[in-house]
Amino acid sequence: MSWFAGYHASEKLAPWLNPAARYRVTRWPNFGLIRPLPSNIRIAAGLASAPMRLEEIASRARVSIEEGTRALNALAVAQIVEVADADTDTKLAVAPRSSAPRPRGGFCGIPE
Amino acid sequence: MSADQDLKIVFTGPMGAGKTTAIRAISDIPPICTEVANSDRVTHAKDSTTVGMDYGQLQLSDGAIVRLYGTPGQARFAFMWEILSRGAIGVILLIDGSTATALEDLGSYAETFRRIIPGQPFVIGVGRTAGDDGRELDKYAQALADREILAPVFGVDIRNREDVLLLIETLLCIFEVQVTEPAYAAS
Repeated sequence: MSWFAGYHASEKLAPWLNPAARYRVTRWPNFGLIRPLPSNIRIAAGLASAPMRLEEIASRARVSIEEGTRALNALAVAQIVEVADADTDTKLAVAPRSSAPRPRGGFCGIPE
Repeated sequence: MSADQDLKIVFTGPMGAGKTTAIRAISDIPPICTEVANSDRVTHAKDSTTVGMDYGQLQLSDGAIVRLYGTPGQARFAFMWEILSRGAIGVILLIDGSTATALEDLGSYAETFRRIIPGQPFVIGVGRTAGDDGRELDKYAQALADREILAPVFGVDIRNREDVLLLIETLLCIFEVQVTEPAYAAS
């Protein structure tokens, strides 16, 4: 639920996140529950491979800034992303983990 | 991915984790299986087990072919793991969450395949988990983190085509991100 809350909350970066900071995931979202878009998977894969700023995430995952923003918000609300830069002081909000509905969707590249 | 690409993915995991079932669930061709009567009822009570390999194929919408190889689960066939892993872009590790050895199996297979194909990504599918809210998976993610492995861990029903496709899609996305030169690197 926290993933969806963060993802759909706003197309703007959550106020406690810093667009200049580089972020990395501390663990992968449970996409078995979330049923992600391919772009969500690419963003998580990018942030698992190296710390990135928002525009770097969008470039690496080949998504729009808005899509990158929504995914970063979702990861932050799910408490599975952290700041990798030593010189930034961004704190993440604390939100309870919860189960989520499983929307169905096709995969890019994999025929259904 | 492009049509001229041939991608190889290895399904591994202990006996009874669902490797053959997973490949059967998604292969575009009738899968090639090397199952024989199970003579190791101590490890698992199932009737048959893979002794050589499983093979299936999946064609992506851009024409690229994903070749799917399933390893034998029994350690006595471990020599096949290295043979089948040559040239693989990554590993899908299936774990039966209902067994007492699930965490031990995860650690053992992760360590082994990290050695066999160093640097290649893992995606872990845990089947038969107790809960459906994902919290059950925390201990698996933590077990990997203890080994300094950051890998996706999903709860899956391996009989479900969509669940198997999720594992493959995730592995392909990780591969794609790894091989894609970041546009910002030049700036």
